[in-house]
Amino acid sequence: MGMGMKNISPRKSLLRHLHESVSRRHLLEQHAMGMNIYLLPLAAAIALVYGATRYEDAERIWRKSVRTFITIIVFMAVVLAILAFFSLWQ
Amino acid sequence: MIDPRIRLKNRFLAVILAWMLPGAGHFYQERRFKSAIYFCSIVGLWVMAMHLSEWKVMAAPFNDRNERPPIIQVLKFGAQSGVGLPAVCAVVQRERVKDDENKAVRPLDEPFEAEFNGNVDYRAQAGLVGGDATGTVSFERTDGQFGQATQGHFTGTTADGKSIDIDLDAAALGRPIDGDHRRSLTAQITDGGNSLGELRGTVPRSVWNWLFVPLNKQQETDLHRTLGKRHELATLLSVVAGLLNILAMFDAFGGPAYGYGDEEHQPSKEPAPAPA
Repeated sequence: MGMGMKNISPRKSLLRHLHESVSRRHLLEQHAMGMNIYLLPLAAAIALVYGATRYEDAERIWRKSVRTFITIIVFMAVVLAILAFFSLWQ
Repeated sequence: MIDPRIRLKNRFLAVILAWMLPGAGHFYQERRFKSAIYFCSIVGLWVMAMHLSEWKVMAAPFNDRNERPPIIQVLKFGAQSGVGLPAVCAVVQRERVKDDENKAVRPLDEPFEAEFNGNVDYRAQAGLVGGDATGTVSFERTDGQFGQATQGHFTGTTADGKSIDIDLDAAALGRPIDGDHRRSLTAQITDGGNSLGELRGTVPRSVWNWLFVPLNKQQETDLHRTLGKRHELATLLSVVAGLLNILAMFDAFGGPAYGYGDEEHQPSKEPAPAPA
């Protein structure tokens, strides 16, 4: 029962390519995530210090810090997603 | 205009304290919450950086060939110096390592005892003995045929569990102050004056003799090879910690940038007057 390439549509071919790319990079990405975990305390420290230098009121500092922390994380996640998306075509 | 609820006390003293130890300036100003935030965030980052780099990422710019250090080292240390106390220690350590007294010791002129880790290679009655060995080395001054001499002894085990008990002579110790945790030791293995082989390895170095000491080119290369990306990450964390503390110092001097933070929101424009 030959399963030749002739019956695979361009869409399926693209999906297969993406799947193989993701599998190939799985180990590398796991290693990279190990390093990226250190960015969480870094972002938390930056958010806290930044908030504390702006205000004196504790509640305001907390609110400002949480918002800054979420902004940093979302920004980094978006950049990571864009880079990961483009790296699939390497 | 600083909010009257914020007591800055002696600002200059507060800035110096904040520079020496993150949070200390605010603690002096009785701003305890901010003191805790600065201490935990900045010291936490700094300790994480040091832990990642095996406590070797912080060192004053130094070139062992008496040339000007690379500008990148100077910039890195400039940013790291935002956390003051370790930076002062690093400068002191750089001066100590440059001192003419800091040189290899050969022959040993003082009694010495330490845990040893390395390898031995010598000819025993039962045959050749060689390989990794751990144990204890000790040296003491004795009256020899030609005056005072230093005699040593090693007791330990080889990697395959065999006990060793040998006499040592002509020992040489590496520089007392250097960037490595351990100090090199070599000695001749003797039997009544006849050389049987050599002992080569390391003994521990005291923390004050390696912490914040600048690394030479070879040690720097070895550290990069051992740590890989962790070295870069540690450098980044220590630099960010220093820069964040500069922000904290500004806060200790002039108070928060946007005011206390519990003020009511003021509308930006005056309300339009009601029509008559």
